[in-house]
Amino acid sequence: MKMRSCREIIKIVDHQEDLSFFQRLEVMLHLMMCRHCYRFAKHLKIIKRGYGAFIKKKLDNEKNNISQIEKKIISKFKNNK
Amino acid sequence: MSLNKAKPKETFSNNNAELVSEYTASLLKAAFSFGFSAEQAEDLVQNVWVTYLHNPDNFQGKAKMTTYLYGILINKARELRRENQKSRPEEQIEEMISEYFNDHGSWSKHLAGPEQMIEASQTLSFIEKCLNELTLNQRAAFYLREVEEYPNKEICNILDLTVTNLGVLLFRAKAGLRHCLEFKMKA
Repeated sequence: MKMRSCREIIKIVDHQEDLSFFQRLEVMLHLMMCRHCYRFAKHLKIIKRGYGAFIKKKLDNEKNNISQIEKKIISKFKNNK
Repeated sequence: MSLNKAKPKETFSNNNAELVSEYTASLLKAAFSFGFSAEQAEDLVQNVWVTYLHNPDNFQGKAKMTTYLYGILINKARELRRENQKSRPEEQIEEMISEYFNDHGSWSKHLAGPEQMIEASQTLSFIEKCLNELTLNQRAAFYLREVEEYPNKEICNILDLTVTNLGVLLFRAKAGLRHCLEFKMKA
């Protein structure tokens, strides 16, 4: 089996659920040996968490705005009966 | 915008009123998350309902209602941004990452440590700026995946993409954000 290069590993590292058992094993072993790919994978995890927190915060900030627009739209369509 | 288009065709039934009450908030949240302003979000979601009510029979009941409505939303959003729905081909990934690697496919660059990345990704203004550099498709795919936690298949239905294209899109979104944040923390 030809081992994948770092360049190939980073493309699959973040959707391991789609990989076969052996592919997952290969990725795992690669990450144990390669600091750069390990960091890249870690970065993606951190970013996903940061993104989730950002969206949550943003929607929280816009909560009043959203419920106002929601009311507006609902009443508009009700009156349109 | 006129709502009259929807009017003559069907009477607005209680069922439809319920739908509007039930799904408007989710649609608005998605529109805000895609980066639209309050006015744009309002227009978009209103447009979604006009389209839906104009021809409710298009909804076959095979898809989930949310999937169907998000599909309309994304099309309206694409019209607004004048963005092509076709995601860019695989080669663009290669182009995007080529500066990191040497000819043997090994790293030619050193990546920042995780601690620095945590700091950058918790700086809301950084995330916001970097998100703005993503395309609508990338943002939508990322939102549906990471916030709504939709399965890939459903996201493909909503965005009208193949599984491969979705993979490319998500990779580009994440790698693009990573690149941008790394740049920001050095600046």
